[in-house]
Amino acid sequence: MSDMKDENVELDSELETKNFVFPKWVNKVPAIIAVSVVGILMFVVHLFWYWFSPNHLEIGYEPEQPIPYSHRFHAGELGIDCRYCHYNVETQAHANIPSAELCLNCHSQIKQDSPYIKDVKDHYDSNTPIEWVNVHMLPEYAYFDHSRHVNSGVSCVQCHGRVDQMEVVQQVESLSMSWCLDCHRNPEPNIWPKEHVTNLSWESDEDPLEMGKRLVEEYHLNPKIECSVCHR
Amino acid sequence: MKKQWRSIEDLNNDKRVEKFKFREFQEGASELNEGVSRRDFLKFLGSTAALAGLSGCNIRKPYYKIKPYARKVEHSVPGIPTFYATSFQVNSAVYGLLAETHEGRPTKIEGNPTYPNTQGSSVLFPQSSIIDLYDPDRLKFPLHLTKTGSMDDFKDWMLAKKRDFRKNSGKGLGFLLGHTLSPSTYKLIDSIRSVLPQAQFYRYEAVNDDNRVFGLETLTGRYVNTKFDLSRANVVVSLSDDFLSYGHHQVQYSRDFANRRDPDNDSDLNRLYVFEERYTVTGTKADHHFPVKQSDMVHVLSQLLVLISRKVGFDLSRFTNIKYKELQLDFVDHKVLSAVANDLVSNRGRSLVTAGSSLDESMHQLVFLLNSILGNNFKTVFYQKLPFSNYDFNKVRSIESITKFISDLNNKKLDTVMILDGDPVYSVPQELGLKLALSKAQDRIYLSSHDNQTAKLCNWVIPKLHYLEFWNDLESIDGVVSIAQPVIRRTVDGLSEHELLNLVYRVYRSDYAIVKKHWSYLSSNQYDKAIHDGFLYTKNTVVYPSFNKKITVSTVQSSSHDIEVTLYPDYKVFDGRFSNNGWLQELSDPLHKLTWDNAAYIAPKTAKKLSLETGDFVRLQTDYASLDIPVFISPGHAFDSISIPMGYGKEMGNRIEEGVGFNGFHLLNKDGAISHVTLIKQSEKHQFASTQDHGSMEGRPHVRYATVSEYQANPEFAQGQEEVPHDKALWDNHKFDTGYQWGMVIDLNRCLSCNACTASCQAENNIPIVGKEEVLNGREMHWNRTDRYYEGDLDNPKVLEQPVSCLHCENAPCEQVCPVAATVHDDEGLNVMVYNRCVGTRYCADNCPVKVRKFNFFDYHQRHPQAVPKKKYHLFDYIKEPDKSLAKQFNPDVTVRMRGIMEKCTYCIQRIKSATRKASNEQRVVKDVDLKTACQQACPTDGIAFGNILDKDSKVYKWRKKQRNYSILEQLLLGARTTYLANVFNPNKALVAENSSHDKRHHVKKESHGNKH
Repeated sequence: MSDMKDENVELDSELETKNFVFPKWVNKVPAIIAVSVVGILMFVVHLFWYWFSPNHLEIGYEPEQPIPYSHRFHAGELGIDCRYCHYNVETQAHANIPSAELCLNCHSQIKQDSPYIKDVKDHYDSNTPIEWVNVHMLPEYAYFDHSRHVNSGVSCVQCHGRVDQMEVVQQVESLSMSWCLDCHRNPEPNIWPKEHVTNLSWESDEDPLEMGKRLVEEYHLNPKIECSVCHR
Repeated sequence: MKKQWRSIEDLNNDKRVEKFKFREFQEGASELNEGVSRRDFLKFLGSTAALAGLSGCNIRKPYYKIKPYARKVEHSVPGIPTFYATSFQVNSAVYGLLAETHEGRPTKIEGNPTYPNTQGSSVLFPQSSIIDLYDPDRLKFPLHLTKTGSMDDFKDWMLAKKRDFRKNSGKGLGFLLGHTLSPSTYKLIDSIRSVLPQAQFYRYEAVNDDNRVFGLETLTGRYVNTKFDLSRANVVVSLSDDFLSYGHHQVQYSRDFANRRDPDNDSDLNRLYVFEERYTVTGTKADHHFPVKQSDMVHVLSQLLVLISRKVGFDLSRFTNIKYKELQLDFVDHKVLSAVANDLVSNRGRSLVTAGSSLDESMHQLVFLLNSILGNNFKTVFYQKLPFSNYDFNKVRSIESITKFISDLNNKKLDTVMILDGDPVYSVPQELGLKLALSKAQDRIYLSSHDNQTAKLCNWVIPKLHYLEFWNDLESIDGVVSIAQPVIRRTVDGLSEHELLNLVYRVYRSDYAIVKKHWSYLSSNQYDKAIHDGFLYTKNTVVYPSFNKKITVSTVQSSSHDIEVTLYPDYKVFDGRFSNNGWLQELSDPLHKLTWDNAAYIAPKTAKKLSLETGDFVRLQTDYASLDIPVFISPGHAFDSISIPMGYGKEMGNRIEEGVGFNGFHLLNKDGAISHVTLIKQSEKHQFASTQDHGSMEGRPHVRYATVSEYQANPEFAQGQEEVPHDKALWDNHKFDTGYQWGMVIDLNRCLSCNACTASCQAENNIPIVGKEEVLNGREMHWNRTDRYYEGDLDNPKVLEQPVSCLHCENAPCEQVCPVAATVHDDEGLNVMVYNRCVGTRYCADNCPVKVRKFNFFDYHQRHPQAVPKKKYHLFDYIKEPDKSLAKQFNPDVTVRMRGIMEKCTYCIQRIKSATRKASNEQRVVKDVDLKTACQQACPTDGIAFGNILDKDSKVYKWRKKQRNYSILEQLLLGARTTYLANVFNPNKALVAENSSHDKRHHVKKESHGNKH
């Protein structure tokens, strides 16, 4: 461009009659445009299909908790049942987060000098809640009921994964509506005997599908896909 | 069928009503009519969309915290409500209630099933009282000389005052009480009197039963009030007594009355005659309704008395001075009276006569006499000793007590006054001059929930606690003694009545300590049981008074064509105590469907005579005061008479009550009555927001009724009133023959249009209020409305009522037009609304034949008069949000809907789901006992049945099988799940011929136009 400028000054009069000719590379412009439009479209599709999908946004969410409570240690190694802390899960919609008081059932004796236990103790003494960070979140217009699922033989592991192996709790399923519906339409692979639902490492001796079919019949399960099941 | 009409404009086929008939959404309803046009809005939309990209950087979901209790709270399960029994006093009524709390936050009030005589029902006031707790306009701190003070300052100040009181043994100390029913308050009064013997007590209550109580006291020498046994009464005659709409016995009366209106019960239908100056709720249930001016009521009663005593051979002259006189009123003549008299005489001991508390003392004495002659006393009419009637201030009339209070103030006998209840500057007759007198006292201490007219004149204003915030005990006139517990920690820095009285003579004690001390003789088990059950014990209060005096009736004739003005407690705000309650303000009044207003109600004929139209201002001029108020034409009102609901027109209103209505108390003279009113028409006009023409369903036979004899001749009279096409519906119908199939039946015979269902629905389902302008646009949000139809003669029409909410049609027209399938059916027969799918096309509402779909044109929670600006987190947060305190009332089980989506009755799906899930966890099926919708639970007459229509044991199954059962708009083949039981009236055959509204035939002829009068 700078060269052109210099010539312009000198050949001013000559250029007056000369027509402007597009440079050769312009021939490629339509192709470039076509490719980039397709590219952008693909990017947009990818953006929504993949990046905005719950599979990308939700799975792997692993927020830091105020107290680094280890499910791997308590539920996995010590083998404390899920229901020791989340005791409402069988009867209520909400599987409760335990109170600080419940932690102190054991920790009033064990590991009292740990700074974290002291923190829990402080919360108990001052009667202020520990602010745990919510990991598994449903939109507010979806009303999920834990008791219905646990009582139907849906194991904790189906939605929450192997919490007994997690140092920090992480979301492993997308919890999207289509994910819910997949199971509601075809529950057989996900039904366990009720007595094993909180045993996350349990494995069936029989063929899981056969067992699922048998249990669906036995428990009179009829999972619905009506809107009103979750939305109201 | 006769034409049923909703308003006079409807009867005359007025253009304005046509608009409401043919358009679901009014002209311009979809426009933003406040400065921003649709075009501007699109411009804004474009620019916001461009900027929205910037705010989208953090698309990760919001960061929520879970805060579990640090120490587990007994009985509190997250997500499961806990119910606590408590009691609530309104005027002379005590309601036994259950407060539903979610994690310590009260959200809903229900009736207490163990409380005597109410069987778990409640009425409008308790239902709506929950929002008063969260009212952001409540006083939060004590006011000292109109500046915010602190409670400690007040306690210190009282310490010094207390020394003064002791020194001069309470001389110059005066207390102004309301209607007090708390035993421990009286205990405190006793204590104060023993320490400060010179202290004076006064009382004032604008709505009272003084006329009846003191009338009977003069006659019998005992302080008693009446109680009816409506379950035994075959014939009921009410002289302007609205016994079904308020008072302590309202729930029981409603239930007993409704049970006697059920033609399928074993007992015969009762018959109700009502003589009254305006249409009341009781009047709408009457078999015979006679508009009679209040000043003529004495003639009606005395002639009735004369006729009856002649028939039974009773010597009237021994007891009273009334004489026979030919009676010729607009609607009542001797033929009517002798028919009523015959009916009463043939039901001796099984009838009852009652007079309204606004009628004067001699009327109540005559009613006592009449009930004695008929042998009703102690059979259907009982007399209950008034609680605490041995206290001197309860032995004088309210108006005399306040007059004495004011004269003592004027005579400098009082230098410190404590006002413990009400808003006396607002409600005491102005002619008495309370305002001026108050300023003569040196110190004025006022216990009040709001900053109001009285508060402006007091140097200490102490926030009054809501009944859900303090310990209380109450003794009702039925003798039910209850200990009322709080369910939430105090949200304001205030005092209860007990605590304030206690501070007068000793150091501070808490409300709990005071109440507990009073009941210290109870064992802790008994005390806990009383709190758990909501009541302690029931005393027998029935006494047997007898005559000791002759009744003298002043026979002064009022000149019959003078305009007479009567004031009555409003159905919604009562005497003004609920006027800052948005739910109640927006509720449609049972008769005139008026919201956010009151009016001077006047008969059509009188209005014509005075050339008045609805909305015209008139000046009501008396010798001592005047009031400018718009008139509202009310069919069925007595001629030459005006009635005004009290409780409106607060001068220093808070945000809800600001500028709403007109204050009828202005017209009271110093005797608490209204005399010699002249009416002057003004040129101004007022716009009323009445919903009477909203949701019109075009004169089809919605409310069906027959007389008992017609019903017996043709029990299926309700069927076939509409032509049902033979062609099948457009779609193949689903079978809906397995599992739960929900359905509802509403018994029109039992409906009193008390509005308890609407209020209950509002509390349960987070329904916003929209304000007067939006009601005028037809945008009110109530999921449940009660339609009121007039039928027949304009001057004395029959009133028919019908609650309408979503019918959950099996073949729902709304579902067929939704372009995004946001409203669909589920397999349990519910027409469900999927809020997150709705895009707001509003086709469904257009296609709904019953007009029950409501559209959130705005986010009304944000546009609430008490909304606050939202904290700005990102670009879209320029909006307001509901006041934090109002949001605490929201039911966490129900979605709070955003603007731009459709909503409607869900059959309380949250209650259905919680019942069905609980049942399936327990491996059983849901029965009637497991599940009640909010409207059903509130209904005082048990007029709503809800349940599984396939379950043969369910009430709804049985009701649907009744022959009176019919479905509205059956010609559309809707397959409605909500059906109605037709009305059956029981008119007196002797009066039927002339009372034209009963000559109804079953075969429907479509009348193109109504019968014009």
